[in-house]
Amino acid sequence: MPFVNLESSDGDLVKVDVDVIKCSVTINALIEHLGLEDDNEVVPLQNVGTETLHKVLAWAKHHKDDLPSVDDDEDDPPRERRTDITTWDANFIKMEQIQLFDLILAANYLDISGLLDLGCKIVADMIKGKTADEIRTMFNIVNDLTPQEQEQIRKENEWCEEK
Amino acid sequence: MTDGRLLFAKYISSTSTLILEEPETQKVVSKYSSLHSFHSINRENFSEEFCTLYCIPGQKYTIGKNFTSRDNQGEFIFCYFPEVGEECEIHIKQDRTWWIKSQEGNSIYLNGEKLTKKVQLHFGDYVSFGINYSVVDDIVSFIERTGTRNSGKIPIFLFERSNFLHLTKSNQPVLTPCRENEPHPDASNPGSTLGRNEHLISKILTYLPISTLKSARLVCKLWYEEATPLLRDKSLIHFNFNTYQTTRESMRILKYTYEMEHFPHPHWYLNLPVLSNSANPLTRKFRQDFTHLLKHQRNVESLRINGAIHSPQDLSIRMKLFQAVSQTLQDLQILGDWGFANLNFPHIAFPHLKSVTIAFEILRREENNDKKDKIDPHPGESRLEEWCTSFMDVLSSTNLQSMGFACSKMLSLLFLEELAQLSCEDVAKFSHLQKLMMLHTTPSVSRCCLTLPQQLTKLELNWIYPRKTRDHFNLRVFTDFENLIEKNAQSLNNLQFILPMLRKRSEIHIPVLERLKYLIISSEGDSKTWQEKNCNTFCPKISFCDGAHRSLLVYNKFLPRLQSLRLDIKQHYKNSARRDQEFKKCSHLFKTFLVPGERSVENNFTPCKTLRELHVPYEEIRSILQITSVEIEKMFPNVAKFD
Repeated sequence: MPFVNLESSDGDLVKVDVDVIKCSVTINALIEHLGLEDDNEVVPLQNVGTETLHKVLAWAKHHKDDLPSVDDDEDDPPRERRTDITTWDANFIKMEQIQLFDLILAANYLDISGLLDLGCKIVADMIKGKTADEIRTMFNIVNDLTPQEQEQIRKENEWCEEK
Repeated sequence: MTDGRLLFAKYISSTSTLILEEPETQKVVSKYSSLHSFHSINRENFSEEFCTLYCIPGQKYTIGKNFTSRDNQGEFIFCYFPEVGEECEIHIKQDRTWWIKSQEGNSIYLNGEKLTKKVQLHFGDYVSFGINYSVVDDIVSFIERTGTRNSGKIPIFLFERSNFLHLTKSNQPVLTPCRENEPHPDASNPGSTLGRNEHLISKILTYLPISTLKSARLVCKLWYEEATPLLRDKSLIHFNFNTYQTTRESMRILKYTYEMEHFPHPHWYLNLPVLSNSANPLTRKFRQDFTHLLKHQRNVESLRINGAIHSPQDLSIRMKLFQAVSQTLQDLQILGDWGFANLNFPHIAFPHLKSVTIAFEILRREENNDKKDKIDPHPGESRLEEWCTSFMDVLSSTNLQSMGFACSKMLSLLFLEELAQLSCEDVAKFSHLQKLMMLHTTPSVSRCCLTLPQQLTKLELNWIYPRKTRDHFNLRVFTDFENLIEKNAQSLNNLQFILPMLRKRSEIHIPVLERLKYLIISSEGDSKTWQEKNCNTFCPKISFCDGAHRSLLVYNKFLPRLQSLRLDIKQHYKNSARRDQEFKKCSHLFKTFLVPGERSVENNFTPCKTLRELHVPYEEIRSILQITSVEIEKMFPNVAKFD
């Protein structure tokens, strides 16, 4: 079975079954690009720390036999994006906010759509019902809207009703 | 920019309430500090009792009884009091100051002084019509004294700062905007880059409900940019013009064009008023206001309209509307009654129309009848046919993909016959049609749909009806429905229908549906009538057939792509004994899909791996089917949502 060596941003090497990590479009492309015939070849991942990488691999291992993701094609995708999460995923994703954010950034960098969806659903769930101020604190964002702009946005918001 | 409003003085009495939110209003309080009336805050009472005057430089507001034209009078505020004589004008100069002026010979008083010339208006000023109250500090007793003589209503208004739009009070300190490209003060925070990654933000926001999207727009510029298109897609603007009796309704139009200038909303839901009397100034005003609204917006993509058509004026309003939106409209839903069968649908081209839903009835007004309002609910069929022909003719030149008929059985059939005829005559007509929604799928409706040349991907059939037969032992009473499914078996992606309760046993055969992804089957459940009559009723039994052979449901053979399955009973009883009885009657529906194999033989079923979403009334059926959630999980291993 072919393996690939991944190097985290902390400099740690992790040997991974190619079959497990094939969910990552980025790594797949790298493997194809580099050829990787030699088992000693190393793929450096500057944006992923060791801890996060292990999390990513745990997820990938569990989901390696998954069917290709449901295609939200033109035929009546439900208007509301589905927010359902399997029990395994729900247990897997229980972690600190900082770790979760890192995991999402890693999934984005490695282009793993299933994991990215999962992370985004969880973050959306955390944001749900929060005020703008609370969201800013959560993401450490500085408000660059002027009071006038905010006033205008509030006026527009009042017009918009549930479909 | 500060808007003003005229507050009707009925509420400035000792028992009244007034909103006190902003410091500006508190000035009013101190000015009339001797009054004991300004206390509690209660929004609800204000629904109709004030109108907002937007601070738009150059705008004019006219208060009076006779509306003549928008050009001369600007925004018109109807004020029907005997004391109100000629008109009074308020207008806003370019420097955003407010000025009030009265027509000659009028008795209009500003803070107790008669208006003789143009005077600047300030927040906190009182404007009264025909009544001179000179003792300002005693306004409460004055109103109470005078008010009792006139059912509590005298035309005295308080002009104040409008707080109507300041519902969400912002307590945040004003932050200095950070310049672009400047390093973020907290860039070292490990989680902080996520909130500034536009790709990830937009992905996260897709999972949020409208209420949180609104908050997200207020976070910062980047979040505003990402959240705005999502909010636009998920929301709509609702204009309820039902009566058009109050100034509030007309002010809403002005408010919309003013406030939403930079966020023109593409989804509208309009309740239009009945405009039978064209001489009525309110009717005239509505038409002018509505034209003003349409003039300001040219991007309406979806439109749901409600309200009856009882006169040519009503039709002409719709003509105007359709003409204004015709170039952008994609989705049209028409509700209400088309009260004039002889007023045909206007012939307007809709080049981008994709979906139409018809949820109205066509009635005919008897024009020569003495009773003007008498409507014949059964106009001649030929008249109706003509109406349907002209309507379908308008639609035939569009690229319609989806049509819905939520009207009477007869009207649905007329529309469908016309649709079938036009599609068969010319293959170019309705060639993009893929989805059909019917409220009533009678055998004749099914037969008519069978003649459609298009291959359909979605059939939402709702109520299906059996074929009438005297043969009590004939189980196959849904053959027309079956044929319709069979004909579209290769293309169907989405199928929904409701099984009726019948007095006898019956069967429905379903073929292999290779592309089906979404399946919703409900059973009608026993209606009250059935229950009261104590009738023995049966839910039709579904079986799967490959050619002539009936077979148990093997998902990867019959429904190899199924992603979402919903099974339910429409009307269940609150009484649990009866509910159990109902579920027992319909148990085979659940059994067919959830326990397709014989349990005695271990592992004789193939699990359905494609299913992601399963909705069944699990609590009710588990004891009847003697099934556990573990067994359901085994059957559908990839279901993420199960309720």
